Amino acid sequence: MLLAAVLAAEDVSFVLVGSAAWYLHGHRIPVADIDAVPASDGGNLTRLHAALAVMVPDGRVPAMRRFGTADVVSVRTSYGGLDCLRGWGRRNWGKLQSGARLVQVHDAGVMVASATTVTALRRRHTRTGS
Amino acid sequence: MSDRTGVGLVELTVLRTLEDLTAGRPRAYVPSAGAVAGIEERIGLGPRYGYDLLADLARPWAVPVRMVSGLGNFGNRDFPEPAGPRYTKCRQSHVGQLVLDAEARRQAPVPIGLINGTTYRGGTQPPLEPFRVLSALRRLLEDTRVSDAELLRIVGPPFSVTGCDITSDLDALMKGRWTAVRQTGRITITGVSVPSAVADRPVPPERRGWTGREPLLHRPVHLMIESLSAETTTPDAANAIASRAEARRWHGSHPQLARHTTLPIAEVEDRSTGSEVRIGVELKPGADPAAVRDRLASIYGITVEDTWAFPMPLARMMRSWATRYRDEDVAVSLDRLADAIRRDRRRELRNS
Repeated sequence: MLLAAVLAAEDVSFVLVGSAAWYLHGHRIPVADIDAVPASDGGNLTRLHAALAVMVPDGRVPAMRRFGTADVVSVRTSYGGLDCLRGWGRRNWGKLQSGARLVQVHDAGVMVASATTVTALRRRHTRTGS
Repeated sequence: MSDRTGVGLVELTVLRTLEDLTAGRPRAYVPSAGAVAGIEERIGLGPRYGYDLLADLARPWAVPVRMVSGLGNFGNRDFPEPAGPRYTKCRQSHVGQLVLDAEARRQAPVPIGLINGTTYRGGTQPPLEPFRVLSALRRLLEDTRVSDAELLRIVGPPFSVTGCDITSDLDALMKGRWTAVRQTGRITITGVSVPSAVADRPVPPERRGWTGREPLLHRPVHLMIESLSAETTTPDAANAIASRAEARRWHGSHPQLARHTTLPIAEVEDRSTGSEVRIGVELKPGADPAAVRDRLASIYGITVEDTWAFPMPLARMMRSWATRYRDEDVAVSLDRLADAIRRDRRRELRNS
């Protein structure tokens, strides 16, 4: 969860989904990696890339181009794993953002997807086995 | 997977290739380039894949019981990439030879798969401490009615080859359930006292121009990281720690988050050599070593989390192994395996 807070503090615009979002909705489940849908604008992806470059110990952050084109970009940081859901996020960003709410993690505001969206996504991923 | 040893079929091919190349020469090491060519000839596995596999089987931090003995640079904890196959040599280890003998029915089976598990090759079955597994199986051979609880007490928790502390719901894991397992590097408080924090004072004129720092090698460290999981290299761990000491532009606007993420660290020094991990951490004046140790352990890389599972309850796995081979002289093969592990460890010490 610290990873989400640090990204928010680094001015990265994203919506948290997956088990971390479920946890912040009050369900006490174990959270390993976090799943986030970042906003697609170039400036935001540049900030995300720069923030990750500091947090990835071996400095091997996927190329900036991948954040623009790939469906999912997975990065292992010193705060834990991050899965950026780009493909799904590009298609559903508007819907995702409209239902999201701001949750304070330490003193950083993290946008968390609505419980309905998180549930729907979890069902979809369970169905596809991913 | 081979039934008599639990060794993967590709790994068995590696051993058979090495056996052919070193035939009749019990001390000979063969060039790894020749070995990977032989592997390709047998099963068509390309040299790059074959060499990765060979190097994995020879790395001391990858598996509890190594089936390949390597000579030359097969990588280390700083830089795990091995030198090219033209520059290294290898042969089957004493344990590797036992595996070949067991597979060829020249002797009773040996439980290598049970000991090494499959996590080193990306699987989910955890490794176990070799001599504890042998003791548990011997106990089972003496008395088949021994309780599961006693067997599990003898065999102990999953074994960290690199010496990390393992935390998990062991009961669930031993029952064969998928379980989150955390491997945390061992962090020791060295006992060197941390200077107390003092307010900034003007530097006396005679000391102006001096940096105030001793040369790095002579400086005491307050915490020492002495083990890391196999998937973390020492430079990565040192960088991850050092990055937590750096100031970020948002520290002023998010003081609470900054307190949670920043560590009072003055220097991080990687003193690791070969397969030994030693990362020294010098704290800033006034820091509490125990509190920093706990926070260091929460850094991903110092602690690694995986999901592991035995394919069935561990006690049942051991019973099934012992029952399957009760007509063969398994007690002797267990003694030979213990002896081979000890001989390989002596050989590794000589080679290093």
